[in-house]
Amino acid sequence: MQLHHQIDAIRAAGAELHVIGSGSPSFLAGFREETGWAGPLYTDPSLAVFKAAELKRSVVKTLDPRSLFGAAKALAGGHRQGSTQGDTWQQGGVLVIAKGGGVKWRHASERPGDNAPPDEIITALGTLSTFTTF
Amino acid sequence: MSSQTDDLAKLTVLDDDGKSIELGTLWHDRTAVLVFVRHFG
Repeated sequence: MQLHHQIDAIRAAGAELHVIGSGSPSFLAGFREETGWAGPLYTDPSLAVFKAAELKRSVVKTLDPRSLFGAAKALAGGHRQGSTQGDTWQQGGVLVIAKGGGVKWRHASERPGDNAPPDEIITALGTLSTFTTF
Repeated sequence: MSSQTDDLAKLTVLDDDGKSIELGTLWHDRTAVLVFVRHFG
């Protein structure tokens, strides 16, 4: 999906993208392998962070296979297409936290496929940084 | 300062090496975009 491709824009805006998963630390290597993500990656096995981030509870109940990085492909027929695009990942939500603290933008996935629009994230970063690149 | 991020800052996550990282360090020096993902399957 788009966020992965927007990483350059995110970094150009002076921010960094951190992916936080919910499995055991062994999930991290698998995630990198399936999605090709090489940036900051962490996991929250206790889900304490997920809960504290106040992402909607519906996220926990949905079983949508739409992933952060392979959205379109994952939804086609609901079966794998032989690729390792990480179609078992589901985005729970996004938080943009300004340097020093303070939630500046949030998106909690309310239903299957309800992923944060990358353009809005870039815009939100633009209002925070001293650059007016976008 | 948001009290929500004060609470979040004290929580920890694990990195690739299984090391405990305080969330607050992620936005200490720059804006942080946190993307939460769940794994099914």
